[in-house]
Amino acid sequence: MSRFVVYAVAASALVALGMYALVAHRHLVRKIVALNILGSGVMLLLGAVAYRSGPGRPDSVPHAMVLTGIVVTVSVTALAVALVRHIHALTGRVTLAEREGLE
Amino acid sequence: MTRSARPLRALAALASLALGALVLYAALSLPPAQAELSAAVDEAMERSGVTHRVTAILLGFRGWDTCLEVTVLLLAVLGIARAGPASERSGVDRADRAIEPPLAWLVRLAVPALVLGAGHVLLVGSSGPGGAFQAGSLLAAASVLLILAGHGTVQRIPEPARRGLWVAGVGAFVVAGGLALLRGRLLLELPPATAGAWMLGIEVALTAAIATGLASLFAAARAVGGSR
Repeated sequence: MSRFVVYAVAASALVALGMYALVAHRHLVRKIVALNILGSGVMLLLGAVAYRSGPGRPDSVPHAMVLTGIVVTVSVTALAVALVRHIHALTGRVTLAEREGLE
Repeated sequence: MTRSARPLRALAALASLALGALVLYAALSLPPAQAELSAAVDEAMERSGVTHRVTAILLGFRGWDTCLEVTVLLLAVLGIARAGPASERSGVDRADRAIEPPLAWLVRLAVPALVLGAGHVLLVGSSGPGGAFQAGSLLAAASVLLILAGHGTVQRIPEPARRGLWVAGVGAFVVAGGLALLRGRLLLELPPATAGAWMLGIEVALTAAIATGLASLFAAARAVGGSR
């Protein structure tokens, strides 16, 4: 049980860190990395939940979900990286344009 | 950092901490572990057609999730391919450029091993860890190595065949699901007697789609804005 607590705390920390980095950083590549960290936290939690079912074999359904999640993460990251490169090619910057009057 | 950005960052930090605390609270307040779902899976394993639980879940019990997942991959490929079909091929075929010896050595060593490994992983998925995604990723890695060495693999496949490969994953699910519906069963319900064969067929199509899709993602992302 305490092992699950360790994993749960680690997963929550990853989620919090990833969320903050996603919002706070202006550089787009950092946002992409933050998104990956956020996803890793969720997948860590899923894995921990799988092993919670006491002695015996772990629950395989969260395993399948994590596999699916990894493929989706790769696809989203690839699309995001391509979009960032496109933004860089078009504007020469790697941050999103700031709106006037808001900051 | 502008003056008004600091309170925004503090707000973001607070919100992230709150989110983390919420996740922790949700995780810790889960009811004591019940093996209901696990037991249900074990009970249904005989009818699944394979002996590995994760494969049975991915392709049998939760095949719909897998179908949506390859759809996401296809959408990503389409999204990047929209950046310009010609740009995919630019600067990738550099077979005339001299390749550094370590890279050449790595390619010669790794690509055959990756291809063999992919075949093995695909076939062993019915009884052990493995399956379409792992095999597709290995093939995509081999493709990426070849692209880095100047031999664009995915780009050499003619355009209509490449698009066919991209769609093969979703197409396999459409065929399997459609046939099930035509026979009066539920969507994606595989007949228990031949479920193993169905799953292998779907996995072969999935492997082709994932390998081609991932390799195309790499090639296209590399080519976008590469002229700068």
